[in-house]
Amino acid sequence: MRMLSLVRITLLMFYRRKALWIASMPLALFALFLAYASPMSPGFSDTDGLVFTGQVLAMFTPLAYAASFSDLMTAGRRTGMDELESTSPLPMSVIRSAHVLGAWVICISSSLLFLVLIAVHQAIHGNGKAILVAPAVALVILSPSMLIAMGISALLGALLPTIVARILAVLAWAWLAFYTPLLPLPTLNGGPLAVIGDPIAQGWFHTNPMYMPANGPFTVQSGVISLLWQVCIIFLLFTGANIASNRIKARV
Amino acid sequence: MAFVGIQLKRLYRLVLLPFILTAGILLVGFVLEGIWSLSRIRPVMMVLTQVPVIAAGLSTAFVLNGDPIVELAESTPTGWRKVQVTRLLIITGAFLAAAGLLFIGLHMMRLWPRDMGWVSIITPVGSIFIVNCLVFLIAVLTMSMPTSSLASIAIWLFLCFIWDPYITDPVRQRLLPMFFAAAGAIFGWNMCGDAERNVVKVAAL
Repeated sequence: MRMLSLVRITLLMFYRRKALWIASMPLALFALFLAYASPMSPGFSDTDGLVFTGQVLAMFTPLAYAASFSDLMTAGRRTGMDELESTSPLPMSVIRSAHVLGAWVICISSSLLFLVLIAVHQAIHGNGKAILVAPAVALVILSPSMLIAMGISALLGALLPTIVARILAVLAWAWLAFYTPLLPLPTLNGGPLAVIGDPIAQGWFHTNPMYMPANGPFTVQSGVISLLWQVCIIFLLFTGANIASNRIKARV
Repeated sequence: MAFVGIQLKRLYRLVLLPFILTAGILLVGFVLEGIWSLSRIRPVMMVLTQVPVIAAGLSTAFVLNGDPIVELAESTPTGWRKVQVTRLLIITGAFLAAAGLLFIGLHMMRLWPRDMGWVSIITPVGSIFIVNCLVFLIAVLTMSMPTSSLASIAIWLFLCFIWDPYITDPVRQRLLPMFFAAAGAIFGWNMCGDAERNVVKVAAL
């Protein structure tokens, strides 16, 4: 119960940051336009289109979230808020997870809104399943990507000076999402460890992946592996950020 | 001038950043030129030449936000607007100069992507100008670093993935958005002159 009320309070706290909501609307709109204009796009009229849109949102919007959440774990240091929080009966890790949850709600809500609008449009034109697919896409494709980007940002922000952390987090996400096979760099794309939802999209929703899988098409199992792997990364990133931010000396 | 000196002293590390980036990218170009074929270097350079634009937007968001002593600045004859605009000009100047150098270097090595001669210098210089002007407006409007950073990436995303691929003539590609960005910056400049608003805004955070 206590956890629930904490989440509620955090949601209220983030609800007040209206500027962030407003800024993330055009961001999601740009990604939506890219999904529409892409030569690979299956259009907005069927389930494939919905999954594809979810994947494009999962590739582009985290670029901005990677840039903006580098003080997710350390903002409290500046104001002394964390000292107040550490006197509360809840463990710090719970409080910090509530902060992450609140930020995640802001990140996902604008994208989710557009996905649901597309789904409603499809439902009116006879594809009732879309109403279920839209939240599913948001949950299994969009949110892991966003949480990974936010986790990278929070971890780097706790380890490095702010501006370096922000730039590096954007570049790290750009590498994770937009690797082009022309560069001889190692990559996660094309395997079950990709973080932009390819294995899940093909394994569970039977769509065409963004990057050709290296060892044959993805199956339902590779989707499961991918989701578990992403949950592991998210957990590691935020645990790391939590530990690192505890070690920062408060600037007096 | 002394005032600019003080701000410069505060921001000198950030002023060095664009030049370090330029040197790094030129070095990469110089090293790769001998090893890889041109068709392979092109995509690398297309990615690397976007890095200064991202860095410019994020640096501007960083210097214009998070200063807790707005009230103090407003209570002196200097005023908050002068502080903000000086910081903006220092960062923008540094990034524009570094972007110019980057273009000259890569143009000489014939590595600049979609090079149309010297007129192409407007591409990097223009994007940095646009991003910084608009980030200034958003920083004045919101006074929040996460929001300004998010917006800077959103603006870059728009320019790089939506505007540039469809409007390819280098002059038209940059002049129209530069006009909008300048209008936005003037709007921000007017709003930033309102001392009452600045103080209330920072007190509300």
